[in-house]
Amino acid sequence: MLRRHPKADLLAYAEGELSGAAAQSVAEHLVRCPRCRRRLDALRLGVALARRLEPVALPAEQAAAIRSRLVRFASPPRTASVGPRRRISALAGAAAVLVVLLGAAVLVQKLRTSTVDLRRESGPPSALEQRAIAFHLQRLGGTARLDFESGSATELRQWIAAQAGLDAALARGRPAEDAGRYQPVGAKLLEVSGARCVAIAYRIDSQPVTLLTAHAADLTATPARGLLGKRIHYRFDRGRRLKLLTWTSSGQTYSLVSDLPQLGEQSCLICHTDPERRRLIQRLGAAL
Amino acid sequence: MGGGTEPVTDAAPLETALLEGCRQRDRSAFAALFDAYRDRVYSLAVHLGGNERLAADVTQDVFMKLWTRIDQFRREATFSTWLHRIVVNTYLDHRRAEKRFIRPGPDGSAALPAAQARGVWDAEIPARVRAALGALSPKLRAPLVLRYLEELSYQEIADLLGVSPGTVASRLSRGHRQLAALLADLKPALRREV
Repeated sequence: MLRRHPKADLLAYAEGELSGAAAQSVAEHLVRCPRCRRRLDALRLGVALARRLEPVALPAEQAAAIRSRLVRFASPPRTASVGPRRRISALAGAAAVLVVLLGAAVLVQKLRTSTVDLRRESGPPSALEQRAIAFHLQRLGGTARLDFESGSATELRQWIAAQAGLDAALARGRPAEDAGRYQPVGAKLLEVSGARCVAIAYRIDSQPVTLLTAHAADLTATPARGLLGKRIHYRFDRGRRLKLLTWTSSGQTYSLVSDLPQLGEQSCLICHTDPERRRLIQRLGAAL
Repeated sequence: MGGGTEPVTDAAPLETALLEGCRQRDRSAFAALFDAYRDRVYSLAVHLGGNERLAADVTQDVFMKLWTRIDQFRREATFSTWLHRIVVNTYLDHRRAEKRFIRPGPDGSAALPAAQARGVWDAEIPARVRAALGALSPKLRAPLVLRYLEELSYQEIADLLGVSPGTVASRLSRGHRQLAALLADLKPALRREV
């Protein structure tokens, strides 16, 4: 008979997988050990319960939705039709920007992280801004159809990178103060004057926000960039009571539409998690 | 076993054809692979995570990873083993992300149904067990699910979870005892099996 409690063998015994001399030793110990008998009773019940686990099927509706998203995810990215002249001018533009950026890199970098050059715009909106407003209105009217739906910022970024070659800088994780407030919804591929762009749909405190982005080089008109800090162009559409923020950063132009308070600056925080940058953004409302 | 989640019959040739199709970036093969394995992936995820919303997210992520990493699959391991690894790792990624950014709290959100005063329908038992699993810590839950739902050996579970087979046995024992304590009222219904 075993003198020590056969803890290691008791589960195999309960599962009926111990045989021969080992099973005999455990059985002899059990005759004299009420503690191990109680333990065996619990293990036998646990094993019987666990053996009753059954597979659970993915509900058909969810399966269809996921299947559809996966097929779109697996689709090859569409190729943009950029002519040779435009490509050359884009390259020349990019080279010029590079030279300027290299010349003042340290200063600009420092200023960009500590200042924002906010401008109020009253002229006609650009094609990207018009498209952003139109798509946002479709969302408000419930007629917008997304190509890819996901509540995960990571998935959205992966999908957008694969489909449009664009970097949607949505923060992958949210600070504690944002808990439950920021909700990614999905994305849709669009065209603006022949340029590929992507609309990113998300919600802040249940309010819809739409962010359009495209490669700045693909657009015919891009907002002026600020030399001293990131320049953000603010426009208020009185007729529809929508706020529009537009800027260019890292080679992409963005237009952000919402009807959030003040300038709608809260919507910028979907990408920003750095506390200092967030404080700067939150002060924008008082700047105009 | 539920009808919709039976293993694919004659899996090897079909599996090989689907995986080869995915390697060739054939979307219809990818869709067929999803149809063949979606229930298995979801089932494992829902038992590991204890809630349906998380399981649906994990399922989608798993297939995205399958598509983007299909070239990393070599026939040195079975597809099942590779799939198990992706599901477990994806589930752990989601759990870590939720813990870090959303809210702390119990991992299992499935509420335990009230114990029946008398008599339990046999068909209720799996749902009761699944709900009780949600109340266990993820450390104890994962070995139980992999052992009894996926029928993996201690060694396979140990490899997947990155622990020793002895640790697997110890966690299984603790898991069984907690399960028994949570569902002691089911003992009469299981008297022939206990």
